[in-house]
Amino acid sequence: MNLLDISMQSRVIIGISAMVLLFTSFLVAFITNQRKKLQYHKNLEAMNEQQQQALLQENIKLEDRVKERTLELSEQKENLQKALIELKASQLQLVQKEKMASLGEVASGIAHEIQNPLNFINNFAEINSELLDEMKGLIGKANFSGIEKEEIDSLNVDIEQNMLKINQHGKRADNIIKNLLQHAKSNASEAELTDINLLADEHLRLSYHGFRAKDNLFNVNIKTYFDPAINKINIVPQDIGRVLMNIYNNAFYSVKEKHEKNINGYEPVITIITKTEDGKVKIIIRDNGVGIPQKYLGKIFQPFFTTKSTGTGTGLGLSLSYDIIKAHQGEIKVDSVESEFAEFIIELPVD
Amino acid sequence: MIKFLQLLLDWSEVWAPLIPLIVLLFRWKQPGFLRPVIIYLVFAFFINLAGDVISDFKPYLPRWLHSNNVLYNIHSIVRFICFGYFFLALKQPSFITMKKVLPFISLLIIIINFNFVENFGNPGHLSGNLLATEAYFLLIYCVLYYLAKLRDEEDDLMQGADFWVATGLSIYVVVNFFVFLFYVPMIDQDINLTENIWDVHNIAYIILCIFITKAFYEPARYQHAI
Repeated sequence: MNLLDISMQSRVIIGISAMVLLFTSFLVAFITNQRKKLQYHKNLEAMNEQQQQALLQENIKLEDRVKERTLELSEQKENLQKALIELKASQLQLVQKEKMASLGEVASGIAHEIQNPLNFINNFAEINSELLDEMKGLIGKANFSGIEKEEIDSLNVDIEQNMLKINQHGKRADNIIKNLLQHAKSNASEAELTDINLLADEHLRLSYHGFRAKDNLFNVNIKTYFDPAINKINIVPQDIGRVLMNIYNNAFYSVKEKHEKNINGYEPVITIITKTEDGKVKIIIRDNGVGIPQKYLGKIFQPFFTTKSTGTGTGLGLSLSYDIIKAHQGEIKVDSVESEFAEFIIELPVD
Repeated sequence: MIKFLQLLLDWSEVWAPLIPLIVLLFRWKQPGFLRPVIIYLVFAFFINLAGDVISDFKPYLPRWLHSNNVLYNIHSIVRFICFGYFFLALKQPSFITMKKVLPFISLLIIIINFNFVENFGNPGHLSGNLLATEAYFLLIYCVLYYLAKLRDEEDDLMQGADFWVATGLSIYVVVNFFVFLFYVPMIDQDINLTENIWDVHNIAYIILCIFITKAFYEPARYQHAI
């Protein structure tokens, strides 16, 4: 067979060409591969960037949602807390009302029971006075010696004075019982035209006597400036009376507390002023007791807030007062300087 | 001394495959993809032994056994099959089609070669074109192997038995491609130079066997990673 003869030159060309082809292919494949890898990494980075962005946005959204939800929850919590406090206050108010009603009933029963014997005492004291006058006439007609007559006259004078005192204190007791009965009529809750001066005065006396009953030696200089021009206003006297009682009691408590500190030259003074201003009746109750610290001024009308020592106050008095005044479309304000004074202003609409 | 060294070099094709084969006796547990390499080494040992015996003991052999050129041709074909199978057994994800197509292209070239250019059973010389083609295609396999490694972004390219086999083979085929290509024309021009150049082939062959030995020594953890 005739075979082809490949020359040395051809072999050199074939060999070099084959090698060049191989290594060129290798280089091309390598470079292409590297470029693909670079592109792939770029794409991967871009994708990663996009994912990071998406993740970041999702995070922001999530954070916003968490914030919103937290806010909602906080609001709900606050509302719930408020509702709980209101509920507790209402519960205590109910208990308080119930207590007051019970106390009123008891007081009313006792007052009625005492009223009858007291009427007897008063009536018989008056009859005794009349009888004593008659006895004086009869003695005048009788023949007694000078000494005997003098003694009889002296006894007459003493008996008259005693009768006067019995009558006077009997009437006072009668008055107290009437006040008590009036105070006990809390359940009625009917608005009626009321003389605010009289109401303020009555409750002032009640509060004062209550305070004096606990401490006979304690004296307070009470100054009253009641405006006689004030017309009767339509209020629930028992409720407003309770407000006044609360504020009076606080005022007495405050001046007593300051008095106990034995400050030189200190004289407890409580001033009550009533007046009409801008179509409103104003009742101003001012004491020169320990006052209320500035930081507590915003809280005193909150339920259960008290600066009194444990067991002394319930923290409900002013809260109830606030509710009562609000129910009367009125305002209750407070002003105080610690260790100097406390002033409560009750404003009630005339109409 | 020089004569001894020359003799040692002439017989290197026989003793060089023994180095990895002896190591294999101690480390007989080898990964599956090295099996074609082991088969090749065994085959190479026997065929090279036969070739060298024919070459050095020609006067004592019958006439029909005076040429070992056919053995070199067969050796070349077996080497291509074994290493081609080795590269396919690596299961690298890249260039799979190309690796499968390469044997067919080489077969086509060999058929063309033995029909129009060379005679397979030529007793005068070995088939330089066959050996050069085999070397070239094995080199393509090696290049594809490295490209696949680069593409797969392996952490350490110089790890694993496959790396040492591929590297040893790369050295062998790069060196011998031109040796095989110019071997036959050089016989006619300068027989001494041709024999000296064959020493270069033998040295490259020793290097290949040493690299295969290194592959057998490679720790198991790298072999499992393939």
